[in-house]
Amino acid sequence: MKDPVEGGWSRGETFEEFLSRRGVSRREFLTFCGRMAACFAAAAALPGGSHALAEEMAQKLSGARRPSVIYLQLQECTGCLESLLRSGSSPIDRLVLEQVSLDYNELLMAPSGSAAEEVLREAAAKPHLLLVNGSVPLGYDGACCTIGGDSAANILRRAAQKADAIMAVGACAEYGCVQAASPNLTGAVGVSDVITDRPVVNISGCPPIAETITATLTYYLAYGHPPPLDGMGRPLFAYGQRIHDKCPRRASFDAGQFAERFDDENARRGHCLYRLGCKGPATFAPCATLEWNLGQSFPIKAGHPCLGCTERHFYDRMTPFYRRLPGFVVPGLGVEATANTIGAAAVVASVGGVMVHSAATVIAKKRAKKAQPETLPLAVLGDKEKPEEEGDKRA
Amino acid sequence: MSLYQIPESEIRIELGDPVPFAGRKRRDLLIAAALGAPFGTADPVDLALLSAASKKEDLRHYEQTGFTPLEPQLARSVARVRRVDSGEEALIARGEVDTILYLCHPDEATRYRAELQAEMQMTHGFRALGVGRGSIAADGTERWEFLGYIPVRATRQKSRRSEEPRDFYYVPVWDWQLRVLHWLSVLLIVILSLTGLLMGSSRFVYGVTDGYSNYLSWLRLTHFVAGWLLLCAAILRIAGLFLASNRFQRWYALFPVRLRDLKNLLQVAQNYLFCRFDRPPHYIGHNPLQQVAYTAIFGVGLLALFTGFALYALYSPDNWFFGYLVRFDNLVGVQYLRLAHQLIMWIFLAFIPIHVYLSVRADTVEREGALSSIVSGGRWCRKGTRFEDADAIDD
Ligand code: HEM
Ligand code: HEM
Ligand code: SF4
Repeated sequence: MKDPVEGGWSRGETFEEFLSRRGVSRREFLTFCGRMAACFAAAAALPGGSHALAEEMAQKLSGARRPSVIYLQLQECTGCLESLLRSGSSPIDRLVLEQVSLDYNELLMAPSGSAAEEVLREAAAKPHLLLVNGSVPLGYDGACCTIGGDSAANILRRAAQKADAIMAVGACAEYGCVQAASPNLTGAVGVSDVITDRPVVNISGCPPIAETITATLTYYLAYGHPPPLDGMGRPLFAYGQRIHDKCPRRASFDAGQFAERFDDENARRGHCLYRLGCKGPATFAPCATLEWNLGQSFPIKAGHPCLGCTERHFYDRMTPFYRRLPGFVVPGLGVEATANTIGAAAVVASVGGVMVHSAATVIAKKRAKKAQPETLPLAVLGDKEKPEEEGDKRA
Repeated sequence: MSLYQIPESEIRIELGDPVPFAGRKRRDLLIAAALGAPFGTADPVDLALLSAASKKEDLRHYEQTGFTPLEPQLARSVARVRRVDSGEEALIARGEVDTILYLCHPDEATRYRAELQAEMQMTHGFRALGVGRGSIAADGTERWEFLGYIPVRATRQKSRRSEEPRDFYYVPVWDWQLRVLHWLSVLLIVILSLTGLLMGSSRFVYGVTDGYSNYLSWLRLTHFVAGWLLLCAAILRIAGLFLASNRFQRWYALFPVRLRDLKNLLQVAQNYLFCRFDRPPHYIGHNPLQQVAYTAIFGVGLLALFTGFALYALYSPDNWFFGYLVRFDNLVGVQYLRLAHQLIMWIFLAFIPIHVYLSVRADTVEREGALSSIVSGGRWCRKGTRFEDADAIDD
């Protein structure tokens, strides 16, 4: 962040002024702050109870001013923005989006063509927040994704120049997601691979839960700096714990009760999906706590194993999605084997090898006993030295 | 290598039963053959004959008064021997059976029989040493008599166990610390493999546990506790590599890289592959092949620990140490780490049968006493055996 201003964003109209202009009551505002605080407190990384946090946040947020936001959409599927818009959030959530002055966004803005380009140029020249969806394809000189005739990389660099903060929203913006999966035809990379000289906050997920985006934004507006991050640049309040550790099916995992098929008895009983390939044990995401669409549900609750979409390169590394462990293609045979079949085969081979070897030892010993080795040359019989030795090869 | 370069101790002379002719006794034939040896001989066959004959008769009763060494054309040697007490003189000729027969002119039947039998001896790997005795008449004429022959064989076959020296001395090889660590690790690895297998495939309890239980939690707890203990064992073992006073346990013992070791490595490998049957070089500690296997299994053990703790680290990514391991997880991909972790277990399981077999084999076939050494800490070494790694041990 450029000189983080303690005390929140401080340019333009304040948030409180904006809200009262829009007819939002103080009570509604406090409720919102309470929800956000609960969201952060889930991480338990922040001191103080969530109530005190809500008060503090309300106070800070009221004084914050509306920032100008550029929300770029590069090589992506618009799913992240869909997630944000269709989260079914309360009006106040939407207001958080409205309280920012969303100056440029391809999907939502009214202007088009050169008018839109003009808006972007103007907004980028002023201090602003930069949100990015989508990866940046670097292959073919950036020809794989162009807007207004310029490559995604150039657009991103220009927009980032004057930005106070940069948030990469979604797996594409974080590292390239599906486009970057092997063999990565377009050379897709994430925002932090292009903007290397500044910190980038990554909101992981394909797509991320709407609340993690709004909460991160809210935190930034209130405090003027991003929330605590993990090693991958992800906000700890959302990505600090594994799904597995908060999963409603965890009890059946601990009991060793697993659904083996999607339609078996255990699946109907709601048992753990581990053996169906659930990646919850390796996935750091708030799905199990926040859940989706206003806390309605999330994949595991709905009976589908977690795909691990908040982890880097999940398309390469969490696959096969419906198996617990990756398999091997046995070279030559073309069949896929699991580590257990290969391992069991190795053990059988080793036991077999031991048996064969001990049998061979017994035979060799027997033969050695029976064999009558030829005598070496005998001096007493007048033999001359012979160059080759015979006693050596047999025994 | 010719007979003459083979160290004497490694040549084995076998004397067959003497076959006397003309109604003689075996004993006489043997004594005559021994007396036919040149005085002060170093020939192994002569020595064997002398030692065999000296058990029957005190050879100090005789004295050699002349010796005509073996000439290529005649193919026989003649010794002139005098009995000390009576002063009686005799000539003793030794050589190929034909030659001696030619010298002695026995009757046709004896000749025929002797030649046939001498050839028969060849088919058993023996050669026949013919012996003739000539008495000197008062007028100086010699009268030769065919005494018979002795089957002789010289081989480089290793001596039979029963013929080896009986004396042993005790060498302490492994400290009790190392033995405790070995068996502790064995126990832990067995536990880890069992719990790991069950964690991976809970089929055992599938359908058995109904309702609430902590079955898998207990498995995991056992696995992790055993994992921590294995880490302790590994740390102690590694510390021992540098602190142990026992040089079979110090770190350089892990790397048999001297030229001699590499040569021996090849030989031992050939021995195990039945390409070669002579006795492999003796080691008090491990022979280079064993050592390479152990060093490799140490490496595998460290990998098991590393991958295990890298998976374990997911429990607490904000721990300062586990944080690094989680970074490693992100580098490789958790699923592939799991796969590696599981494969490592199979490497252990495949290693155990071979390892146990080779240990048992070392005790029974090679008589190296390995099995006892990992239990009692020491082993009995035969006196006179040359050990490749015994420079510091004096017997
Ligand atoms: C020789 C040593 C070990 C063996 C043979 C072994 C074996 C296994 C096996 C077979 C699994 C199940 C893998 C699967 O199917 O998903 C497993 C999982 C695991 N092991 Fe080990 N392990 C060993 C050492 C360790 C150590 C030292 C640790 C460290 C604490 C450890 C921690 C774990 C963890 C965290 C898991 C993952 C459990 C999960 O993801 O559900 N292991 N181990
Ligand atoms: C996972 C299981 C095992 C592992 C990883 C293992 C590893 C090792 C290692 C590394 C050594 C070398 C000594 C040292 O430097 O510490 C050794 C020695 C030995 N192990 Fe094991 N071992 C295992 C299981 C067993 C079992 C089940 C037996 C049972 C018979 C056994 C018998 C021996 C013997 C006899 C020696 C001594 C060899 C000698 O002195 O030359 N081991 N083992
Ligand atoms: S369903 Fe997935 S996240 Fe939930 S307990 Fe099972 S493995 Fe863990």
